[in-house]
Amino acid sequence: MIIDVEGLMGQRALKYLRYTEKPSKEQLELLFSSFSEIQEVEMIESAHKYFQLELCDGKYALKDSQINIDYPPIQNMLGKKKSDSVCIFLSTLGIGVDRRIESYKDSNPSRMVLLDACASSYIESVTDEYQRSLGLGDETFRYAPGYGKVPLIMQKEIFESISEFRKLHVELDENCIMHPFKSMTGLVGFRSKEGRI
Amino acid sequence: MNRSKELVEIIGKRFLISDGGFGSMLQKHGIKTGDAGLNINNPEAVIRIHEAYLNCGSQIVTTNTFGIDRIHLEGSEYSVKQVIAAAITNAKQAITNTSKDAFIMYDMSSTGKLLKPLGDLDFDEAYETFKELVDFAKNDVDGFFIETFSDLYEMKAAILAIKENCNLPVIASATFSSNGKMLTGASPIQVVTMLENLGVDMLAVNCSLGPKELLPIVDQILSVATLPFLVQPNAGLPRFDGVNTYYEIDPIEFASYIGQMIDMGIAGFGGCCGTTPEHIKACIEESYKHEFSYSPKNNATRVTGTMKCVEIGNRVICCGERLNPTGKPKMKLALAEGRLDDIVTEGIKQIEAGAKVLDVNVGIPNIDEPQILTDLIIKLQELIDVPLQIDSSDPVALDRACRIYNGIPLVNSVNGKKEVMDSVFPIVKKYGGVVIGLCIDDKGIPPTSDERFEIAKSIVKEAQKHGIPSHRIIIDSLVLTASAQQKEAIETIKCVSMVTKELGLGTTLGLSNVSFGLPNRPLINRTFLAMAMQAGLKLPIMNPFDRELMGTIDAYEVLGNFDEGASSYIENHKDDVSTVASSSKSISSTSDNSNDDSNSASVLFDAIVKGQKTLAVETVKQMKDIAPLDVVSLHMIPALDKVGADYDSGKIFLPQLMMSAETAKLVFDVLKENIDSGNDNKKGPIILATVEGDVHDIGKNIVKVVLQSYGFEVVDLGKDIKASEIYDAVVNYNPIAVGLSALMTTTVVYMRKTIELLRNKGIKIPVIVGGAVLSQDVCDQIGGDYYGKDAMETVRIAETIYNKIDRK
Repeated sequence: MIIDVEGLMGQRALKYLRYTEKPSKEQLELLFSSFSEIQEVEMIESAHKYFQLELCDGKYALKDSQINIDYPPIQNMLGKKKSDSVCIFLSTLGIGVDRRIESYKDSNPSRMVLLDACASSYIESVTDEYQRSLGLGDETFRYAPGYGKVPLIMQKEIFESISEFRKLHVELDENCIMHPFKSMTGLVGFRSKEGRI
Repeated sequence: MNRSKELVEIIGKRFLISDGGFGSMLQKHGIKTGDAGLNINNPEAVIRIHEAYLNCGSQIVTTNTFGIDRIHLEGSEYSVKQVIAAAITNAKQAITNTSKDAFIMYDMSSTGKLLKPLGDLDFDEAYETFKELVDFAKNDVDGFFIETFSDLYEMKAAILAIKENCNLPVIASATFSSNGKMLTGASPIQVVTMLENLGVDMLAVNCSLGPKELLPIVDQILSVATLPFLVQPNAGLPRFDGVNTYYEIDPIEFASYIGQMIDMGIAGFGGCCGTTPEHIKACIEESYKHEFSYSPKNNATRVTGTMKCVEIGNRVICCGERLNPTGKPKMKLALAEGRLDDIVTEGIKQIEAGAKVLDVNVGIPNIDEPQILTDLIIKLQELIDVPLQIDSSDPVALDRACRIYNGIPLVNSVNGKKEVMDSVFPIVKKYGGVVIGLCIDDKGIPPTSDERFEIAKSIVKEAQKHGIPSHRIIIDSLVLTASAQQKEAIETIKCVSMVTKELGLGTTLGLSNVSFGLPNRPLINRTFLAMAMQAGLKLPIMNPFDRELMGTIDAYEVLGNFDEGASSYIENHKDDVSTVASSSKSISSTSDNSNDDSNSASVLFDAIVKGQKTLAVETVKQMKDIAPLDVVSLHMIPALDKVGADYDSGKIFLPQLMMSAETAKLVFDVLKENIDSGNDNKKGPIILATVEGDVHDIGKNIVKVVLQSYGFEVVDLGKDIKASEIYDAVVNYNPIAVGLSALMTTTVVYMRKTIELLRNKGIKIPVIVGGAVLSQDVCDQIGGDYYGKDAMETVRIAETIYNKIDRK
């Protein structure tokens, strides 16, 4: 993946650092070295599954699946775009990134903070790229469990229902937090083109 | 000649043609993939696919045993033994039916689990899983084909399971991701080093990528491989047609890439996912148009860690010596008390200081050395990715540590004593290590370079008898104390030169002994280092925190024309200019001390603001005429206040604030040594904890660093801490405040419980709460006294609390 500190990748890292000013040259260099370090240790894996949508009592539901999507933001999103299908996908940077961040806890905490922010941005870029590789553009907003009013418990249903995700070395803990931390699930609705579903 | 020997004879002499994809062929025939019982329930389908590959020219039949092991088959109605037996029978039947002269290779694949510490599978469990496969298959196959492994550590377990339990040839095939590395981070050169040193017969890559995407990886492997190399790409990248996954590259296009690879020097080919007999046939036809051009590359001395590969060649490599309890009471205590985390932190710091390899030694009396050394290696490899030098005189400890080591270790050491070589060389051979040979024998350390050189030669000769080639030996000519044996210092240097020039081997020296008993030891050490490097020293074992020594290496690398464009030197020493300038100022103005200190104060201020740690520490050491507390109040705190103001106004971002805080803390640590111990200037302590259920501690760690930079003593309890543990800590440490952190809404409830427990127990000290989901309202609702919105705000709150107590 190309490191673009002046583009979206850098902007997201700055957002995670709650920095709203125009970054200086020195700050951009710090971001670049952090993204490069993440690239050294990342172990990217991704998987996805398509679902057809059906209407039950006027609400969207995933056909042949136990995953509950009856949450207003998702329902509104799917209705607005008249989606008939959904893709749920998972990407992870792997445990190496978590460990590298952790390694700086005592010896170099400022580096830890930088890497953490950059890794959060990096996993978003990885997920964007994976979404694009599936031929999914910006059909709908990408929702994730825990985002807005979509509860984190949805994560559990996703992991229990999608066997492809279990091969990715990502585990859910009892609080529905993914390990490695720098992992991301996404749900995108779309109108199926011929042959996709 | 038996079949396995015939196979070994062919490898590297002419093309070895493997078969192609199995799943795609099943899919083509409408058969479900991933069915463990297929070999038993539908042998005809399996045999038909084998026959198709044999008929198009494959010389290898890989058994249909992908994903067959006790982990995958847990809960299955079929046993591992049953499936393996049926798969081998099917392969044999296909050869009989086609009357082809082909080899049966047992297909051994990954368990699908990651090994500890990345996953939950023990190395020994992985080994036993693979050993079971070897035991069931070894009498009925011609060799083992380890394939589709994305973790080099798991490959090591598989290779050891084969090599320790049979004598059959091994082809080992790694799988790379699109970033050019294995999933767990190993580079192609690391893979070559590990597989060749572990003694496989042929290298290979397969799966995951198409031939086009594999080209750069093939190129990297061929640039260093001495063993023959086989390639089995996918038929391009997977695509989804709405029902099935398919692959986009047709046989002709696929074969054209194989042709390119033949010209690059591969010695065998086949296919993986999406390839069919037509792909293999097209490759064979393509191969007729190309010369077989495999040629082994030169041997090189390389050691590997989990993600880093270090070559002991042209460049001087610093091996950090600090993970050794000799003369280090703190490490001795940490080892005795089992505090391995402290030792890991020391390792991380050495790497940050420039060490490329770390020596690891746990030799203290009354310790279970094999167990502790193994535990420490596992712990180090959780966070440290550079190669480790496993340092022990106990062969049992060496064997256990080398076995679980994730990579190719540097083994320290053997010497010229026969019994030592007999006990250590088999370990080095089995685990593919590189070994240090000390120039000492039964008679002790010889006084002359000639005699030491003779021992070096005898070590090399003996190693070869054990099957260890000379490029896996590094010679230590041994450093003696110049004050006691002055004549011998130069003998050591001469021996380094002889080993380098006459044997062509890498050399190492433990530097610091040379200066023992002399004044200004660093001067002797760095002069000796320069002499030794000029003689050929490549692996000094030294203290990487000694900046003068590290600088000597950097300067030598520039002057010896090893550091191209002086890039490493410039990177490592770009801040030195200011140090020199400040020193020059000090020297030139020695008649005016106040001016001298004023300059230093200005440098210190800037260094804290910019987060230049080394410069700040070196500068404060020069400020001897200013009282330490004045340095704090007049220079350090104003610098931090400026940084705080810059942060508040958005001029700098959080990591820069923290870099300044870390720098200030280091300055404070230097000053503390000079502050009168009777001076009760302690601020704190403040207890910090991330509450129960919450494993996110980054915010808490930020607050800790910034509080410490302002001179507060912090007791950090860590993350996921129960209320009762926080209460116990309050009773133990009598803090001026407690800081609680939570990131998730679900864990704020534990924050409230903690505050309730403290209050119910009559604890009245202020509680500061913070974290992503906190606000002043939430703070009020859960009974917190202060809401620390960020680290700087928490410092202001802490100062307020401290001042109130101080006035009382």
